[in-house]
Amino acid sequence: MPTEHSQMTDLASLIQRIFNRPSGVMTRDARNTATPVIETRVSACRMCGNKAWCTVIVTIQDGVVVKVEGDPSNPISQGKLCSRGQAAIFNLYNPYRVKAPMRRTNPRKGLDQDPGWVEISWEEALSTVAEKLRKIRMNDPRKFAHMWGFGGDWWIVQHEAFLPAFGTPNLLRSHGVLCPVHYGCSLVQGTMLDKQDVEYCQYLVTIGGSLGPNIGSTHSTRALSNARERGIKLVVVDPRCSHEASIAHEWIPIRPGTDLAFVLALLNVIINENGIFDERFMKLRTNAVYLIGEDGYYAKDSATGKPLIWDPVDGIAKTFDDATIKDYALEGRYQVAGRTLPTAFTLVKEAVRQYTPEWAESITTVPAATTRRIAREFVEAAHIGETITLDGVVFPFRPALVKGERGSLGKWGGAYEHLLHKMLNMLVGSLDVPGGDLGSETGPALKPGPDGVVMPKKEAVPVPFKYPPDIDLAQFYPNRHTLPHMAWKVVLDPAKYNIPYDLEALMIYGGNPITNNSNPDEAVAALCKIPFIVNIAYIYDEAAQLSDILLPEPALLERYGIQEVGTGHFVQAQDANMLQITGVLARVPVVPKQFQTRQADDIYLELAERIGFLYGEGGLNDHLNRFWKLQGPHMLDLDKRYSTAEILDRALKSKFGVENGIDYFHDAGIYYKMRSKAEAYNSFYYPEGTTRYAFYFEHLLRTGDMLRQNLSEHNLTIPGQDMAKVWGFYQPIPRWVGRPDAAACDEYDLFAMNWSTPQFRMHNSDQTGNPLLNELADETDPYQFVILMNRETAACKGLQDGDEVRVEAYWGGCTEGVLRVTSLLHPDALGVPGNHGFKSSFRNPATRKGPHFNSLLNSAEGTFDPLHGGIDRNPRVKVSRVGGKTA
Amino acid sequence: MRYAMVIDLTKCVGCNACAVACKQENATPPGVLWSKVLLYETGNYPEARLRFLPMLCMHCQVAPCLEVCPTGATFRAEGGLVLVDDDKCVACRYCIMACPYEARSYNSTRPHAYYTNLGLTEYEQMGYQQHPKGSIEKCTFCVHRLREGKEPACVVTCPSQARIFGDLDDPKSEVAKLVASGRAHARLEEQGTKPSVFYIDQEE
Repeated sequence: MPTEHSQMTDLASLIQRIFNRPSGVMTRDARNTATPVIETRVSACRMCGNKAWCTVIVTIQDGVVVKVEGDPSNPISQGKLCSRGQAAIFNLYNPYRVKAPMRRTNPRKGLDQDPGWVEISWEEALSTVAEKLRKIRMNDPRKFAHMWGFGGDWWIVQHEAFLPAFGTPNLLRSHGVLCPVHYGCSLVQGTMLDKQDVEYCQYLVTIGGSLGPNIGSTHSTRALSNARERGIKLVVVDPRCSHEASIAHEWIPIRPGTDLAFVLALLNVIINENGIFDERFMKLRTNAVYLIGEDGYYAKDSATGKPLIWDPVDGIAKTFDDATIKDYALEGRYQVAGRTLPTAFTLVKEAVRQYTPEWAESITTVPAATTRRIAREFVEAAHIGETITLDGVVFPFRPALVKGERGSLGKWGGAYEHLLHKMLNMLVGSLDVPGGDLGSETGPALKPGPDGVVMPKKEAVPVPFKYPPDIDLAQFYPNRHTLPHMAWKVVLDPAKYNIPYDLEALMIYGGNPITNNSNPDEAVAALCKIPFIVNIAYIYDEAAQLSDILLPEPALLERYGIQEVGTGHFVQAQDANMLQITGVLARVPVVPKQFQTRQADDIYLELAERIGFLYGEGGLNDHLNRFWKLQGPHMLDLDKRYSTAEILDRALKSKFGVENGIDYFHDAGIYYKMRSKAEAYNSFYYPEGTTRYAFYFEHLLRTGDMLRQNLSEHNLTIPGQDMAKVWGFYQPIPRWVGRPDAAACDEYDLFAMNWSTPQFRMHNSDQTGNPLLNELADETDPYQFVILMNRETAACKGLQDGDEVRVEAYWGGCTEGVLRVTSLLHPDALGVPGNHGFKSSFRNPATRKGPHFNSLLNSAEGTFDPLHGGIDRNPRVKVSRVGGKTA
Repeated sequence: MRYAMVIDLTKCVGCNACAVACKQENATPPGVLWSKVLLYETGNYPEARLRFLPMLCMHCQVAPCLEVCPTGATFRAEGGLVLVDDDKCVACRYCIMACPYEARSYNSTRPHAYYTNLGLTEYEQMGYQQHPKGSIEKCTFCVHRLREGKEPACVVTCPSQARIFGDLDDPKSEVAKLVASGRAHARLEEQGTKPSVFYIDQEE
C-alpha cells in the first residue's frame, strides 16, 4: 500500500489536473487543454411562488449554464439560495418543454385524448389566435376570459392592462382557492398580506403555516435562524410536526380544520378569564371603544355623523375624535339619547364567553390547560407598556404575535379566523409595531376612513355589484380571493348562474387550474366545453393538453421580468434588512433562447396590435402608461409599437427611479434603498391618535347588508347557496361556524391535510418535474410522495407502512398512494404532502408519481367560505387498503 | 492546517439547499449525492420530532477508505483532505465497504441522464466530463474552491447558516473553538476515525 508521503508527491499534478478549476466551473475532460470561455451573469430567481427577492449568479461556460447560486450583493438573500432556486438549471434544460408553437389536430378533448399536436409557425399561431379573439371582441368581449397563475408572474405587459384594453372583465386566476390568506390583513391592516418582525419578536405562535423553514425559504429561514439564536420562543400549532415544529419550543398538535375553535378560546381566556391585555392600545388604537347601535352599526353623532365613544370622566358620549376626551370606556353599556349602547368591546366579550377552552378541547383535542397556558404566555411575552426607540422614534415594543397561513385560513370559517388572529394581536398591541404582526406593504396602509378606522383595502374592498355578474361570480362573493371553482360551474351551466352568454375563448398563462385547485374533473369538463383555448405554455401540462393552440414561452433564465421589492408579498419571517429594503428586481435574459419561444409580454403586445387595441386612447399602451405610472419622457407614445424590453426600461426609470433603467440590470439583479428602521413600521406613518384598527367588524356587516340589498333588487339569491348560512358569515364579530361536513357519518373518520415542502412550493417553474428536486425528495425525505397516517391510527385500522391505500373524501374525490406511518401526525389527520400525482401523459413522468391531494377537495356551494371563497382544505376522508404488505 | 466543518443541528432545518449546491458545484450525475440531509423522526406522538442528518465525507484523519485502497487512488491531501485520484481508481469499491459514514459512491463511466431515455442535457454533457472514468467519488470539501480562498458550496448556500468551515489547527477559528468547547462532536468517534466534520447536537 502506498505511503501517505508518496501520495503527497502526486498532489501538485493532481490538483492541477482535477481540482484546480475555478469554483462554479466544470472541468472538461482532464486531457482537454482548451481554455473554456466562462462568464457570470446576474438574474433574479422565480423558482417558487414567493415574490422572494432572491437574485442569483449564473455561471455560463462555453454557452452552457453550469451553475446558479446565491448573489452575495443582495442584502436579502445574502449569497444564499434554496434548493429550488439552485435547481433552475433544469428549468432551462428541460426536454419536456414546449419548443415551438403547436396546433391541436384532434378535436376531441380530454385527459385521455392525444391532442395530435402539429408544429406551426409563429405567424400561423398568432394570426389564428388574433382572428378568433378579434371576432369575439367585436361581438361580445365578455366571451373572452384570461386566466393566469404563479408561473406567469413578474409580468411587464400586465393583465391589468391587457384585459381592460380588450374590454372583458373576466380575469381568472388558476390558483388561490387553497390560499385565501389576504382578507384579514386587507380589512384590518390595509395590506395584501402580513409579515412577522422576527428582528424583535420574542414569542411567536404559528397556526397552520410556516415562517420559512417548512418551505426552505432562503431569507426567512436565515432570519428565523438568527431570531432563534437570539432566543425567540416558537409555538407551532399544527396537526403535523413540521420542520418548524421540530425546531420549535413547543409543538401543539391539533385536529385538522378546527383551529377556529382554538383561537376563539384563546380570545375568550384573554378577555374573560384573565382580563389582562394592552388596554391603552385597545382604547386609543382600535374601534373597541365605539358605541354600537341595536342594528350592529356604529352609533353616530347626529350632527357630525361620526361614531361615538363614552367618556367615563365626563359621563357623556363624544365623537371618537373629540379633543376633550379624558378617557374612553372600553366596557359597559351607556345611556345615549334614550338608547342603551354597549361598547364594541363589550359585545365581543359577551359573544366569545361561550368559547371555553373545555369547549374548544372537545373540537380541537388541544387540552384546555394548554390553551390557558398559551394565552397567558402570549400576553406575558408582549411586554405591554414598554417602548423601543428606533431612529429617534418611540414605538410600543410588543414582541408577541399569532400568525396564521393557508393551513388555518383556507377553510370554511377561515376569514373569521384571520380576523381573530388580528384581534389576538390587537389585545397585546402588536399590530404594525416592533416585534409584532406587520402589514406587508409599507406606507399609507393605515389611512383611516371618515369613521376613524383603517379603511379596508385590497381584498376587503368589496367588488362593486353588477348584474349579470362576471364569469367567476365575484359580485356574489365580493371579498373573494379567487373563484376559478365558480367559473367552471358557470361555464358548465351559465343559465343556473344568471350568466347570459357562453364563454367562447380562454387564454391561459402560467397556471394549471386542473391540478392546482379542487374538483379536477369539473375543471376538465369546463375546459373541454370552451370552444377555443390558447395557452402560453412552458410544458405540456394538463391545461395544455386541453388547449387548441400552444404558444411556447422561454425558461426562467431566458426571459425578462420585474418584481417590486419591499412589499412583503409571500415573505414570511423578516429581519431588519428585509423590513427596511425598498426597490425592484428585474431580470434580463442571461442566455439566448434555446427554442422557438417568445416572451409572454411580446405575445400580448403582438396580439393587441393584430386584434386592433394596442394604439390610441384606451388601448394597451394607454393602459400600460397607467399601470406602470409612466411619467413625462418615459410615457409610451400611444401610437407606437414598443418591445417588452423598452417597456420594462421605462417602468424601471419612471416608477422605480432606476436612472439607467434596464442597463443597470445587466450587472445587478436588485436595485434598492434602505428605509430607516422607523419607516419600516406602518405605525410610524399613523401613530397613536391618527387611526384605529377594527376590533369590531362593522364593515363586514355593511358589506353583507349591501349584498343583501343588491341581490334583493334583482330578486336574486346566490345560486346554490343556503342564504341563511351565507349571512352567518357577514357578522361583525367572528364566531364558530362549525364544520361544513358536520353531517358526515363516522366512516369518514380522518381529516385530510396537505403542506408544501422545501423542494416543492407553489408548483410553478415545473418544480415537480425538476429532476434535481425529485432526486432530493426521493433520496432524503421519506415523507414525500406518500400518504401519511399516525402510527397508532394505522395500527387500529390494521394498516401497515408500505400498504397501498385508497383515500376517499366525504364530498367525493379520491386518490391513491403508498402509506407511511409516522408519529409526526395527529391521530385524526391524514397527510398528503406536496402536489403530485398529475394526470397528463404528455408531461414529465416524474410529476405523475405519488398521490394528488387536490383530488380530495370539493368546491360545492355550502362547503367553501363565502367571504374569502377558500375551500375546505381538510375534507373528511376514509382510507382503505388496495394492496401491499398487510395480509 | 486542517480543514474542518461544524454543522449546527440546532440550526439545520433539513431544506437540502446544501445538497443542490453540491450537485451543481461538482456536476454529480443522478444517484450520486456527495452531500445530503436525511430526514428521520424520533420519539412517539406527541413527543415525536422530525430530525435532520447532514451527511458528507468526514475527511477522517484515520480514514478507513484510505487504508483499504489498493492502488493509492485515495490519498491524503493538503489540510487533511481525503481525495481520490480517479486515474488510479480501479473502482474495486473496497472503500465504499470500508467507509462507516457511507460517504462514497460509484460514478458510472456512462452516467444515466436525469431525464430518463431522453439523453444528456447540455449541462450534463459538459458536467459529466469532470468524471471522466468510472470511479469512486465523494465530497472533496470543494477543494477547488478552497484553493481560491472560498468556502465549500454547501457552506455558502446554507440559509440557516448551520455550517461553519475553518482550520481546526487555528485555535482562533470558529470551528476550533466549537470543538474545543465540547459543543461540537464527531460521529462514530468510538471507531477512531477522527473525522473533520463535527455536529452540534440538538437537545432531546
